[in-house]
Amino acid sequence: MKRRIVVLALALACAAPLNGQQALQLLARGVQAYQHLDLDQAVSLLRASLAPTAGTGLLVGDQVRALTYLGAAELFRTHTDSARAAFRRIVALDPEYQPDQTVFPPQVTELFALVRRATPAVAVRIAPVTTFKARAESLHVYLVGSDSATRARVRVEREDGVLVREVYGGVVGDSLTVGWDGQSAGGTPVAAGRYRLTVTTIGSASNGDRVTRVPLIVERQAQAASAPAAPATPPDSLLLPERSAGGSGWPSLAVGAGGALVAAALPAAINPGGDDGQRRFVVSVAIGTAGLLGFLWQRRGHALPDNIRANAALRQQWARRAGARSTTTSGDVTLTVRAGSASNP
Amino acid sequence: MIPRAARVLQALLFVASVGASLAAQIPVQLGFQLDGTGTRVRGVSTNLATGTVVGGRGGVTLGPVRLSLFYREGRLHDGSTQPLMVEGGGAADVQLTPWVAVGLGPEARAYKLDSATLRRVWLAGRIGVAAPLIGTSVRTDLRLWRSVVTSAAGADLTRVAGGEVGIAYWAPAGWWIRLATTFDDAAFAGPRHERFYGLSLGAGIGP
Repeated sequence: MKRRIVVLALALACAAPLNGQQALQLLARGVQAYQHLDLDQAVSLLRASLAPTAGTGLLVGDQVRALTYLGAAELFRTHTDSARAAFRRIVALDPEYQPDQTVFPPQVTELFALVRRATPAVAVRIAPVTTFKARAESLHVYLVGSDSATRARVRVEREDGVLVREVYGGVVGDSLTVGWDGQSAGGTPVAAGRYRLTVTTIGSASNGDRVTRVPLIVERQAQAASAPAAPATPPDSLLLPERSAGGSGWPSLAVGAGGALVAAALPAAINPGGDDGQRRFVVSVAIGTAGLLGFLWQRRGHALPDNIRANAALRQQWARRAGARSTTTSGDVTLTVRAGSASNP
Repeated sequence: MIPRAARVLQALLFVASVGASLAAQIPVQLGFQLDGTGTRVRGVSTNLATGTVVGGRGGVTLGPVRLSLFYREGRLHDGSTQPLMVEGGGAADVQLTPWVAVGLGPEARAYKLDSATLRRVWLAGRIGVAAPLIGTSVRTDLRLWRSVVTSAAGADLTRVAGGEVGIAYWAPAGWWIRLATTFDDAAFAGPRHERFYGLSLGAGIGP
């Protein structure tokens, strides 16, 4: 039973790399068949390389390459609709892509240009990390349209899809840079957290809308406009020690021992014929014990309640002052936005 | 010519104004305590007399000077008689340093027996030291005293010497409790001695 589980686990672990390698091999063989004008074989191999089971390992660039050869092969097989479908998928994957004119003949590049113009798509480019001052500066989003008439709607949403801010809506053209100033629709800097930039390409009736999403992680740091932010806690130099440093404790021990000795011996020395019923040892033991406790207390150090109260009051004062300062400079918020990879759900 | 009565009145007013001025500048503190002492006395009668005496002490502190009065009494038992012990006195102490004080004061002690009353009076000089044991809350103190003048009706009291060793807890609120052992030896001409021992537990407020 255990051996079966091990074999199954190994098979699962190797499945993904094998799929990727297999897809690349199919792509290479498909391209080779296309170059040998074995178009049926080329179409078969290229479709196989793009199939979900085999295509999971192909990167976007390889997928675009496979689709380009597939479209060209279909075109030469006079399956124009299939060629258009392949080219539409290319535009959806990479709106900026253009087939290499030295590799593909004009029929292919012209058909591709037609399909590209008829297939609205927008590519989204954002710097992986951007730091900017909310309201005063912006996060730049670079949009590339598949056609000069491409229209798109850009919005920032919460991770759960709730609209945070409509950033842009209109013509993208060949390219357009839009900016998000880090504020919500209410005009305040957004809170730190996970968001997403959603770019919806407004298509024709036949193509429908197409959505591209880029995950955003927003971090925020409040800053004073001209002065450094006031710390919420006082520096250590202003705080009193809350616990006494462990001292030697020897004075307490010596006083305790001396006191115990005096309490035990002095009455007998001054009053040698007296009879106290050994009661003096009660005091002697009490003093000796207290001296020992004092020794331990000093060695360990001890809490200083007055200093603790004074420090608590000082900390509250600083916290209130920092809070007040934060309120007055709430407009000066620096955001750091980390952008993930674009995806088309 | 100013009449004599007017001069006296002026002098009294001057003293009163100076006194009031000094009192306003010197911090004044009052202190009181109550205590009970398990007492054992040998030499008053043929047997060891034991019993409990209770009393109190009150004082006023004017800067480094402390003036105090004390009184205590209790009936002792020696098996055949029950002498009543009464003791009182006063003292003026000067705090030389935070932990050392010296003082002087009269004391009187009387044992009232069925047939007679034995009175002993002396003026004693004393020195006291105190030291902290745990922070400043728990302190120990030692007082030693010795008579400089003695008087005993019908007896030749040559000297009285004694002492006290105690430990006290001072609460932050200002009250305190104290456990102490007290001892003294009254020496008379010849081999006669009256030896006093006490274990006292007291509580008080103020210095």
